Amino acid sequence: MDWRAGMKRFAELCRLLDRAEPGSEVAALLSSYLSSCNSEDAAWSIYLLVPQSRNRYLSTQRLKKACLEVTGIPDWLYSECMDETGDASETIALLLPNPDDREPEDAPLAVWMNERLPTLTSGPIDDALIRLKEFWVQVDSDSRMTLNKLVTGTRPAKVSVQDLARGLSALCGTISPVLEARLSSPFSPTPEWYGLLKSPATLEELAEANRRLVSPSEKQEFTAVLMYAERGSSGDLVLFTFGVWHEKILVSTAKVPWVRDREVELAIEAFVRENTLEKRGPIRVVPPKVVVRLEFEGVIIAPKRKAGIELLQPTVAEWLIDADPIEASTLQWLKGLIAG
Amino acid sequence: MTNRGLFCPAGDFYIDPWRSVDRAVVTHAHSDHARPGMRNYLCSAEGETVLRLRVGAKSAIQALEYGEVVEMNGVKLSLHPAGHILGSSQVRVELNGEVIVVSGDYKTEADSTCTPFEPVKCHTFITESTFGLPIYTWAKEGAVFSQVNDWWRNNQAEGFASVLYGYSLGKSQRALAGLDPGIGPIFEHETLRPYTNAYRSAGIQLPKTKTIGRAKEDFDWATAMILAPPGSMTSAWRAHIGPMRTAFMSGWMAVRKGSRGRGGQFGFVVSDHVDWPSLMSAIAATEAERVLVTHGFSKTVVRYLRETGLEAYELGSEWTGEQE
Repeated sequence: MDWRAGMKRFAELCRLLDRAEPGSEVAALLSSYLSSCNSEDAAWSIYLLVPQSRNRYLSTQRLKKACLEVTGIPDWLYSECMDETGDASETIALLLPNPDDREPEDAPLAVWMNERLPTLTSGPIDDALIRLKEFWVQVDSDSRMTLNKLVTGTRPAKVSVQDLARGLSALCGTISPVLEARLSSPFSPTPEWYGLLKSPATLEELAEANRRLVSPSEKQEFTAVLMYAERGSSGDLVLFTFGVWHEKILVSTAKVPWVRDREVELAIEAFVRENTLEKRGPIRVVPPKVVVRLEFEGVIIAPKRKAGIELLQPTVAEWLIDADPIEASTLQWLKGLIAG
Repeated sequence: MTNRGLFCPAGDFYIDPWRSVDRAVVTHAHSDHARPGMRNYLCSAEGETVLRLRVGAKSAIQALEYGEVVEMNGVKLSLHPAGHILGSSQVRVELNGEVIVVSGDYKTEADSTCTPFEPVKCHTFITESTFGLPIYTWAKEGAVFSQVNDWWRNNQAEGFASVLYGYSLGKSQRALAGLDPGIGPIFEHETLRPYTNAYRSAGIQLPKTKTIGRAKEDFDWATAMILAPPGSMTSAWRAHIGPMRTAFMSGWMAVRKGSRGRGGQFGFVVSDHVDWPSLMSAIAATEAERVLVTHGFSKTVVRYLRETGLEAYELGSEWTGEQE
C-alpha cells in the first residue's frame, strides 16, 4: 500500500477503515499505515482513532454556515442533502466545490493538529471561518470529510482498541493485551508517548495482562432493549439508551456510547434511521424491537438515575436478532447484582 | 400523465408506457422504460437492437435516425441523443409551433459507448431528477476508470479476482470500455453477453471478453476482471472462482450511506444519469419556459428551480395532464 503524506494519507486510511472488516483486516491496515508514519503523525493518528472525547475546534453549525457561504446553497437544500447522507461532515465535503486541478498543499497530520486547527479557536469567529475556508481549499476533495470530522471533534473512523492493539502488536512485537491496556489510559499524542507505547512490556504489565486473560469472567452481561438513540452535533448517533423491564414497563438503564462490532453499530444506526417514532431534540425514540446483549464491568447505586443504578463501562456485545423484547432482563435482577 | 404512462393526446402515442398501448415511443431499453407487449414501438436506430433484446425480436419496431422527423396526426416527433446508454433518446414533440422535449434518462458527459447528449431547445422540458441533489457531483469519467484499473491491478497483486457489479445493459459495457485490457483477461457473466454483442455490432469498440463459464478448469482467476450484474455471484460461482474482491458501480456510491445500503462494502461512482451541476446546465441549455420534473428528487429540484425564477412542476403529482 502506498501511503502518501499528511492529512491526505490519514483520510485515505479512514476511508479504508470505514469499509474494512473489523478484526484482522482492520489490524493489517493500521499496521501498514503506522509502519510508514513518522512518530508524530502515528501518535496523532492513534489519538484521533481511539474512542475518547476529543477537541472541538468549531461547531458543526459554524461549518455549515461557512459551507453555505461558499456554495450559495439555501438552508433548506442543505437539510435535504443532510437527510440523504445522515452525516454533516460528509454533506459539507460533498457540497464544497472541487478545487481546480492544482496540487493540494498538504502537511503532516501533526502540523494540522498542532499548528493549523488550533488557529480556528483564536481571534474573532469570522477570521476563523476564513481560515477554515482556506483549509478546505488546501486539502483535496477526498480528504475534506476527515478534515471536517477533526475540526468538529468527531471520530473520523470507528476502530476498536482491540484492533488497534493488534495492528500495533504486529509492528512492535509487544503483545496486544498490554498495548490495549496502554491505549486505554489517557495520553497526549506526542512522539515520546508513541515511543513508550511501542516499548517492550514490563513484568508488571505482563502479569496484569495474564491476570485478565486468566479471569475473563470479570465482565458481566444482561439483555436489554433499545429505547432511544442520541444524535451528536455531527449527525452521527453517539449514544444509545437501553432499558430493562420493571413492572411491565421499560426503564432506561444503560447509556452506551460504544458498540463493540462496527457491523452491529451500522445495523443499529440503520434501524434507528428507518424506525424513528419521535424526535425530541437530538433524541430519537424508537420502538422497543432491538434486543442486545450488554456487557458491563460493574454496577453501582445511583439514586438520581431513573433506574436507581448505574452500570460501569457498558458495551453492546451482540444484537440478539431473534430475541423477543419480552426476554430482556429485569431491573430487579440487575439490582440483585449489587447485593451479591 | 396517465395510468399507462406519459401520453400525447394529439399524436395518440405514449412515451415509455408501462401497460399495453397501440403506439409506444421508447426512450431507451432499460426495463423500467421498455416493456414488452406494445402493438407498435418507435425508438432510435441506434437503440433498435438492444430494444429487440428486451421486448422480443419480432416486435413491430419503427427506428428513427437521431433528428429525423415523423408526423403523427399533425404532431412532429423526433428523437435526439440522451447519452444514457446505447440508443437512448430524448423525445421532441412539436404541435402548432409549441415544442416539448422529454429527456428520458440522460447524462451530459460524453462516453465512448453511445452518441453524446445534445441539448434541444424547447418551450417545455420534462426532465428526470434521479440524482437531483447538489451532493451528487460526478468526477470525470477518466479519473473514475483509472481508479477501477488501479483496484484491479492491486487485487491481482494480492491474489484476488476482481468482480465489478453493474447493470447488464449500459453500465457494464461502459465499464468494459474503460477497462485496460493490458492488465489481464476480462470475463463477463452470461447475462451480459447479448447486450455486449449488440454494442459491438453497433460499432462500439470494446475490449475482448470471455464468458465466465468458458474458462479452463485450472484457470487462475486472480488475474481476471469479471463484469457481472449485482447478486449474480452465487456461492457456486464463488467456490469456482476462489478469493475475490467485489465492487459496485453506481451513482449512489458517492454517499457512504448509499454504498452501505446496497450491500457492497466498496464501490465506484459511475452513473449514467446527470449529476446536479449538469442537470442545471442541461435545463438552462433547453431555454425552456416551463420545466416538469420526474423520476427522483422532483420536489427538491422543482423548489430550487422556482427559487431561480423558472416555472416548474412535479410531473405526475402537481402536473397530471390528461386522465384516462
